[in-house]
Amino acid sequence: MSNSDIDNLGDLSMLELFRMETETQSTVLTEGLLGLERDADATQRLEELMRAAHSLKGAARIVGRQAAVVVAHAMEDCFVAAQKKERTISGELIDTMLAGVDLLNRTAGVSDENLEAWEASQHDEIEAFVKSISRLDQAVVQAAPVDQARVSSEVAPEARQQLPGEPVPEPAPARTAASDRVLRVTADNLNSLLGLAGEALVASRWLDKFSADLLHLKRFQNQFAQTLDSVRDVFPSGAVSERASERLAEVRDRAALCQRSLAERLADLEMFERRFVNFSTRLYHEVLDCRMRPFADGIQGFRRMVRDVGQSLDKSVQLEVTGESTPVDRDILERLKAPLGHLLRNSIDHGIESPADRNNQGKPAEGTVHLEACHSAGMLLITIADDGRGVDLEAVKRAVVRRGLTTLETAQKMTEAELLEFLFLPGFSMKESVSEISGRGVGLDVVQTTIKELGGRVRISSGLGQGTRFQLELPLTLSLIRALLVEIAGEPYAFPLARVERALKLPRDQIESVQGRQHFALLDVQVGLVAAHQVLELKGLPPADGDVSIVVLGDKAARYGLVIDRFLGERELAVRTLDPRLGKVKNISSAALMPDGSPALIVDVDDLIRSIENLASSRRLSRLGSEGDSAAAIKQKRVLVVDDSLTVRELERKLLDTGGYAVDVAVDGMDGWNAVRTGHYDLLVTDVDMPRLDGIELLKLVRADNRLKSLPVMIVSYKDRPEDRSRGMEAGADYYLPKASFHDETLLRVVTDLIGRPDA
Amino acid sequence: MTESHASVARLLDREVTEESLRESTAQVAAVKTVVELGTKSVVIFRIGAEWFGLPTSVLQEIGSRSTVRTLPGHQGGILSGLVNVRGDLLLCVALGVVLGVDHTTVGTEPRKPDSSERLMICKRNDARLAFEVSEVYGLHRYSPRELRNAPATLARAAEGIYTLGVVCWKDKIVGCLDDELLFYTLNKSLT
Repeated sequence: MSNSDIDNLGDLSMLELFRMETETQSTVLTEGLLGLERDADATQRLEELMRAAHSLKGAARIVGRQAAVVVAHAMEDCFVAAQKKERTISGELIDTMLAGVDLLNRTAGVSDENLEAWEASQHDEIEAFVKSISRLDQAVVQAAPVDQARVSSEVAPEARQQLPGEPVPEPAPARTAASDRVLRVTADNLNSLLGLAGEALVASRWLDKFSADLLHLKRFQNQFAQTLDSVRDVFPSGAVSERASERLAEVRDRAALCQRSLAERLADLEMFERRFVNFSTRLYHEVLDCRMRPFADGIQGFRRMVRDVGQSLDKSVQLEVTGESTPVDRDILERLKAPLGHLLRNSIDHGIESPADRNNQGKPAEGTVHLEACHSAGMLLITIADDGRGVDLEAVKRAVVRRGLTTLETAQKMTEAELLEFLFLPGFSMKESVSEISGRGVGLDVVQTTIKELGGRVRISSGLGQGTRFQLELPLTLSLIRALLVEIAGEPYAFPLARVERALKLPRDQIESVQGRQHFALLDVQVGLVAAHQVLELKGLPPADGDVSIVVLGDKAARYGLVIDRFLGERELAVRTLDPRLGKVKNISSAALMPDGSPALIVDVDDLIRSIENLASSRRLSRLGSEGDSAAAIKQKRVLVVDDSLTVRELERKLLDTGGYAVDVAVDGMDGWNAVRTGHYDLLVTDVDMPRLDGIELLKLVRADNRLKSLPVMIVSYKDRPEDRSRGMEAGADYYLPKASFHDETLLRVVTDLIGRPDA
Repeated sequence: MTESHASVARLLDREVTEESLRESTAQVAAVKTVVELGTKSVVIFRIGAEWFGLPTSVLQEIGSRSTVRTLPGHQGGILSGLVNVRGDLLLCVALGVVLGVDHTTVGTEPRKPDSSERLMICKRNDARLAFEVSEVYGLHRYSPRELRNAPATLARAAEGIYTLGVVCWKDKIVGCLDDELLFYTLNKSLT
């Protein structure tokens, strides 16, 4: 069962729940330990840490993870002792404890089947961990009286708790970010919620149309009343009998009643409509907001990483984070982890100098990397700035010239921004030596690619001796895009606005034709025109009169004008992924719902540009291709291979494929039975022992089926005793081949004997 | 004692009334309705001129026809396109094309939607699909004994592959579809 099948936590196994818990608690532990290292607020931290270790111990006991119980227990004891001031937490102890957290995470990762073996293999490490915790304790108490003093002075305020009447502070909600309660909701649930909220919004808009219709009705009624009035005027007074005029008055009264009643209902409806639209709009945005997570969630491991990387390079570095509560789309946050980690490592390795160098320059020995997230002008800005040595522009120039990317003369003329752009080139590295941390020249280009894929961009600025600053500019969310809606072949298509260079209407006479290809001039550049119908392989033709509507796509290197039917406008769309069963749909990236509830397709612009390029080059080739096509169309003989072993299946497939047969595979008897009924095969090759439906049963089904009873069937099996063979032959097999002999030419020879050559 | 004996005898020997005699006779003579076990429930629907039955267990809901958005590169195949069902974008399958009953999708221009046209939303093993059909009748139970083999002519056609057999319903022949095979093929051939 895959993850996507999990609908709620109730379906999760105990082990999965334990893994989730370990994930949560180890974050608390890591954050707490790192905080303990520099933070003064020791009492509360220790309380938090103790609770986390305790919860994990309990959870580990439930799922029978003895190793985790031992480790968590040792940590809990240690925190309790620290709370009682019987021991202090030294830097070395924190290192050990962090290793303990890793150990806990590893324990959670082991599957139940491998548990015993794993615990045996880890026994020594766990033993050593528990020992080192207690040993460090002794050493620290004797060797670090200073630390002891620091900790005790920090915990001194605890005495206040004894004051009568003062409320005992709640232990858990210590940090602001953690104080928001968090619920785990599966992405599927959230998506269907978003779908329903969107539908409610669409439904609410229908009311607007309906009340407009009622307004129409109201106007008709008014006209009707006026006509009635005029009827009375037509007859001169006295010409109508009393009875008739009474009736007329009654009719007019009733008409007035209808008018009043309708006006009241209409007012009610309008009020309801306003309320409903308001609520459903809010509901929709609230659900969209659920996709947002605080920036802090995405950077949990980074403090630890910065510390570890700094230590391994003998540098002292601290990470400063601002904007931890900035909401970031969960998909963006997930995909930002790798690029951010890379930029941080990069800053520590390339940016921050050694403590000695920093002292010489009058900087504090400890370097700082600043990570900041904020919203600005509808974009998410993430800044990574260090106070290190900055980028040496002269060195960049030398590297650029050395790699032959430009001449020294040009390099001298380049601006700072232009030079820094080179850092993003694949394989471009400033480092003379390759280290484990960075310097291989792979990285910044990958960072840039990822950011571009997310629809954002990266900028660098740098001051020599003052540090380097990377700024990532990203859209706030991937689930909403601003799009240009156009109509092609009578159906709406959306182009992400960020990828549209220009949208314009052009009088027909401004289109020129060169060598049978149409162009038009855009700012002195000739842009080639392509019909959207043709690229998307749709039926119909673009409109032949009036101005030509054109969407210009591409970049400086290659621009294309896509001719569409007409513009429908600009709109914000909630992006929906397409059904995964479709695979990649050519030229389309996703879909969205239009205000009227009908679906619209969102164009994959990169894919579309590739299609345009292919179309441009294939026009000339199309005539040459026709002959080759008919040659390939000769009917190949088709074989279905059914075997539950991947190795055997692939081996058979390759042997037959090399022999020139078209081969399909099925993974067991049931799959094979489904396949053989729906495809047209010349031969069935099947194993005997398979789950769900074995080979003999499959063969019986085939022989009992009207259309398949004469299909040649060959059994390939490990069972080669005479009774096995006769069982297969009795069920109707045409050949029985022991598996021992198919690795040579036998398989192919037998197949050829049974159904002839592949193309005959 | 003798008094009560006499009254019991009177009670037991009393004349049976005409009415209760008639009632009992009718009860004994009535044709027994046999409740049969193991019957199967299918939803009966029409595509073009032909009637089909699909196991009720795979049916999630029946909706009215709404806009189906064509996917470029999938025109004219078994996939009609995308359709919005309660805020979910589902793949819509032209069941008529799959079954080889191609009356519904003749011509390229959009047809006028018929008021009886429906969308059947079906789900089997987490795979959800919407089927375009011409009309849905409703549910019907049949006994497996009623199921007869599909006509030999049908057995060779595309339609025959997916038909387990036929049952009679209101003097019409209904082809009962093999839902497992149908979904198996559809899930595989959507790419």
